Amino acid sequence: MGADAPIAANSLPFLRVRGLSKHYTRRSGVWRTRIPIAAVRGVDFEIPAGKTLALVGSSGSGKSTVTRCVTRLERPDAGQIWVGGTDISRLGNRDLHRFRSEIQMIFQDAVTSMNPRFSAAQIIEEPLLIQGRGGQEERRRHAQELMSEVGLSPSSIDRPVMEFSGGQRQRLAIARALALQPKLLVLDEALSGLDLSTEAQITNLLLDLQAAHSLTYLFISHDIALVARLADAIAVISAGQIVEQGPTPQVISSPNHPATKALLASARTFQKNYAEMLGVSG
Amino acid sequence: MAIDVSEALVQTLVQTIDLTISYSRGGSAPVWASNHASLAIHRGEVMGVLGESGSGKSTLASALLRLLPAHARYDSGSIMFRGRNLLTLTEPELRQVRGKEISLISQDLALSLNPVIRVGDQIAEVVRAHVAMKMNGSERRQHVEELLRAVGFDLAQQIYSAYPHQLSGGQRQRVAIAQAIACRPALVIADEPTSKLDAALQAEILALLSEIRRRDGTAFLVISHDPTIFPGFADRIVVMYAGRVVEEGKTEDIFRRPLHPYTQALVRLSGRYFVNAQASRVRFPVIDGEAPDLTRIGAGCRFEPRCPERMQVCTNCDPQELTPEPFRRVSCFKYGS
Repeated sequence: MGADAPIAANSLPFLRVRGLSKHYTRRSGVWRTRIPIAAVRGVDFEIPAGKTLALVGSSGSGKSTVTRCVTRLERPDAGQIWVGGTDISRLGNRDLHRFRSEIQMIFQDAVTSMNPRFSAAQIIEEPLLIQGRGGQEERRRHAQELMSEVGLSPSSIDRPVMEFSGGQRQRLAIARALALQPKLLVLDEALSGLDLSTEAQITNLLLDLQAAHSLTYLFISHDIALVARLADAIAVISAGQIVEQGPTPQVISSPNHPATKALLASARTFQKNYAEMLGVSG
Repeated sequence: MAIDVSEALVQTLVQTIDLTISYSRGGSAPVWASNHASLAIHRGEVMGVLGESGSGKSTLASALLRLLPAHARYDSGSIMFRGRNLLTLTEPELRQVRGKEISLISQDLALSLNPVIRVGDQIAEVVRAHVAMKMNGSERRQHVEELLRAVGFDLAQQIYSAYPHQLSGGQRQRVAIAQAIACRPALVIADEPTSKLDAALQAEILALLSEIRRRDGTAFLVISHDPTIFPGFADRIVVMYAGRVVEEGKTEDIFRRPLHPYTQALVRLSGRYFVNAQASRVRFPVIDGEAPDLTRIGAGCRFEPRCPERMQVCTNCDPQELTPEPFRRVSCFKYGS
């Protein structure tokens, strides 16, 4: 692990994405010919170590494509993805294996991203097994520590996933993601669909974990009101391109691009309705 | 007295009284999903049911249409709709109610729309089932295209012939709404109609439901875990927790002066939807703990383990429902016993 030694200075970005492009093809017409559809084009952003960047955009804006490229679930068509000092955009599977432990992902739906028959222990230990870390007892002890760190009782380590509630499963997903001591967590709509009280608990947990382990977060969301409370910086993606980015207070208080303004306007619907409701009635 | 009752019948469309429902499978302990739940929906109103996972809100929604799975049991209570108790109707009688008088917009559209039938034909099927005698095929198609236009599609003919997978999430939600209002029902039950949509689409769908209500006088029972959809949309809100109705009031009163500690916490949490450039990286106010296991309900108040204002009495007794002011009810010992 010499070449990718952690970056010492906080001024250096942990993740730097340059000119990232990816297109998919779709079959169309009588001959079902393939036509290319650009998913993302020329995406640039960077995240300093220990900080949070939120990538926000409406449905179909290309958020997920960026995620899939950064985590190298997909190979980008062009551009570079620098993690520490290495460009991982062109690495083959064998070289990637090493980087998989540095970058971990948390998905929106913890329910479908886990085998329901697995026990909590199996879920958390699986990445350790794949990376060949530790012996059997060591893995189990590590899994128990992770469970208490994310606010789950270590005594429930042998219970099957299906006996955990939605919020508890999201905690399990976080424990699994932390098992390999990653430096970057990619959170793909990790809070959407959760109950308000669960969302608040998980948000606080993510803030605490970041502070404790100097984690770097790439937070993907359509909810600009939520990310404004979590992120140091916001990048707005629209039609596959980043149209605006900057420190959170700046993007929120003086948005420039129409896409940012539109996101903020719809996010303010509740605020507006709330003020109108209380204004009219008294 | 007799006059009061008849007046209530005119205004009230559906009323559940003391509805208790439990699930039990193969001898395992019953899950008490709804416990003595009473609520009344008035003609033409939007009633919000606010509750988080496991609160029993979806059970209540399905119960109103008698659509609960076979292992669910209606232990007590009644569901009165236009003078009839829905719990005593036979299956053929229920088929005359479902879709025609009360319809459902289901939470999971992936399951409620058939992937291999054109969406227009799926809407036409509802029309055919209930008002078949009056229409031939082309009239029916025309009627469906009108419905599609009414839910905001400009190219109704193209949408008619589309399959569900060719539509976006927002479009599928509009199709489901068109299907639900096809027979001009008196009540539409919408289970989490906006939970999978982004903020812009969410606002569009809520505006559409409000428009239908204004135009057709349809009543809506809207179920959601998200309190923020209700201001400017719902007239009243019922708050559910662990199978119980814990509070009810006008939407503005619920937000202005929530009474139950659980409602107070939810209203406080919904402040996170206010866009605030200064609140970056501030911890959220939380309700500690998790909702109780519905197979093991103790004698006390269900919210007691998480309640910041718990008192001695809360551990041992379940609070009765109180009416501290008109159009308001709450189950909490803070307001008396």
